[in-house]
Amino acid sequence: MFEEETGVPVEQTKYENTPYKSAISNALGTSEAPDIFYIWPGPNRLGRYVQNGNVIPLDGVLSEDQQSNIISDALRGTKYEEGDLLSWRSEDGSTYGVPYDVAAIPIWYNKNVLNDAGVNTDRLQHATDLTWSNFLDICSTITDAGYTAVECGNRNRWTIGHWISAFMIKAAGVDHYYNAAFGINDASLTDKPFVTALSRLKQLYEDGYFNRDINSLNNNEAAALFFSDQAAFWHQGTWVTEQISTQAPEEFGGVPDAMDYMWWPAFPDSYENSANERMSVVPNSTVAISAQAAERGDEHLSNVKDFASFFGSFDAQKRFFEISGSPVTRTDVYEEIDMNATQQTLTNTVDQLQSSDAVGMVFDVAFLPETTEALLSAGQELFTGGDPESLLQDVQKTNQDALSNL
Amino acid sequence: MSTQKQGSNLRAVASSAVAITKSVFEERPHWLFLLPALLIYLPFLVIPALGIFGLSVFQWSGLGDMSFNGIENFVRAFTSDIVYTSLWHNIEIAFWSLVLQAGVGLVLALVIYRFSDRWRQFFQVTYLLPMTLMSVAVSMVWGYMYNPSYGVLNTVIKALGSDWSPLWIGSESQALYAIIIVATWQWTGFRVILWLAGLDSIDESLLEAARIDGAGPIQRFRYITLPLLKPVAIFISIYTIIGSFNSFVYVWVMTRGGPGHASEVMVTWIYKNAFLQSNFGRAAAISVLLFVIVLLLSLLNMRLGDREAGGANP
Repeated sequence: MFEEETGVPVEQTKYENTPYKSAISNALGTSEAPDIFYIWPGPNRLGRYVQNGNVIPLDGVLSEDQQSNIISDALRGTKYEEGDLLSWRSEDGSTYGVPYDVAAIPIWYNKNVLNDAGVNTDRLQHATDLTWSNFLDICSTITDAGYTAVECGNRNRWTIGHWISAFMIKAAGVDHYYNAAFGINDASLTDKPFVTALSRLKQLYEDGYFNRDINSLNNNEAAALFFSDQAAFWHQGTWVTEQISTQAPEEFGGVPDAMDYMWWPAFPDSYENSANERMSVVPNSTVAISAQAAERGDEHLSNVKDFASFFGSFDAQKRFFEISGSPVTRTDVYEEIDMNATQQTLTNTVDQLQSSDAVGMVFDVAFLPETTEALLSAGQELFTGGDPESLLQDVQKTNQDALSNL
Repeated sequence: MSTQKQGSNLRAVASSAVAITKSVFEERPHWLFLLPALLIYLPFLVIPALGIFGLSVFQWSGLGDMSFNGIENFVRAFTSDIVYTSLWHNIEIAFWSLVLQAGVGLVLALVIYRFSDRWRQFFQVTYLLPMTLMSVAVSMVWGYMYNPSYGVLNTVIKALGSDWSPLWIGSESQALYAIIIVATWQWTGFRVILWLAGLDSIDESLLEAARIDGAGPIQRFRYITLPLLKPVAIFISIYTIIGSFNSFVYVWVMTRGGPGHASEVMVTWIYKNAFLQSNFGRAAAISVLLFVIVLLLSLLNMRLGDREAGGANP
């Protein structure tokens, strides 16, 4: 599309998710670095490149019209002060990435299972105020009916990372969550709300609401069980449609006929504003420009910036949404498309994110790499007898080490 | 005039270099034969390995500048519970690989050795088949077989009427052993072939003489076969131990070292430090530790091998 419009040739290189992380890091250390590349926005990835001067500020790349139509939290999620990883989301910072999609991460419920277990799904639909005790009551009803309440495939580890992120935000609030991650205002990952978060996850397992083989299954295996009406709840980002097409049986009705979403249970007993803050990935994908691109001549850099800007254009985002089904950062796109029921449901999550008081990112985007790794391991050890308090002490120690290395 | 002088100097230097090289290779011709290997070995193995030693005293995220931090990476490595846990898991893998791959391999080799040539070839090929498969593919298939809900292993256990439903790679206490089982399945056949080669090298006349002298099968095995298999045994054991310390693929594909760190091994922890935590200096320090362990084991192998060679000489 960009090539057709501008005549500027674009050479693409594609990678799988995991090898891409090391490939792009390696490439950025060489003269062969790509001009423009996909990157996750938080300190775990883009922040490191900002810190090391591997990327250039993109101020002026997005027009005022583009910026006014892009979700403000998505723009803020790409801002850093020069060379300072911990300044992420600073209002005074520069933009280092063009955000082009967002991903809400709610809990999905299987309507057949809930109806069969006698749970009223109207109460759950897109609910933001379901409390922890409400959720436990529902899980109890589901297991009594012979179903698995919550299916989770934690062999890959990132899955429980979403649960941990959501529970931490619900128990402590977004500000406290980020403060603890970055060692600000005396906040620590060992603070009581975080212990509450992990204790509640452990409780879900010990009460038999999570599948017993949580650490044995991968996410696709868990998804297959959810789609085949064996479990009531399963969590996934709004990129879920791709998974439905690959994992679900043909007769599965999809979103919203067979499954719909609710937000994570609120913990008002731990954090008063719990129901009004959400966990998601805003933005999900961004494109950044390498420092090497800036050394390849003014005309070249100008073309590269035009290409980066293209990712924030109406046409590109509209096409992306139509093809992938994943919500995009430009909200004016939604007004122009005659959406089907699935698209309406998925974009409804974006409305709810925008109307919330705060949105916190999953920790494998927002936290430092060492802390992420420690917390992911803790997320498995929770279900093999690990004690939340001592697991968090280890994570906090790792986080302090990581922060001191910056 | 000056250009001519420079030219003749260059010719003189070149001819002396050729003369020195010629004399070196005439006096020590083995260097000539080693040269092709050295041209690959030095830049692609020795120099990067030395680079790891250098990197181990720096803090480096993989991007940007390195900062010297002395022995800090080693201090952190030596005070990290995860390093010791990983090392212990490597030792456990080495122990069980010796028992299962080398030990069971010997028993199988002794059984096959008695078969006719046709059956022996059949079993040799059969045992070698798993070795021809890619370890990544093997790990993925076993990962499905270990699935507690619909994996073939638990299905068979259930069909046998048992209520036991192990979590396998999802269990803290079973994950490491589940991995050892896979490695055993794939690599025992290779040990069988090595043992068979050792058995083939034993002079039949020694066994025949012992038989005539009235030695029974157990005595012949104890006093003739086993001592003569010693060089092969040393090779297999050291090869198995070193391989165990380099374990990565099965662990990475099946468990990523989890649950938690229940199946973490040295190489997965090095990989995580380097590529997931962007802590290349600490990864290098742990690599140095692993290098020292493997080097000591290799030296032990060479020492034992030398002693064997010395013992065989009159």
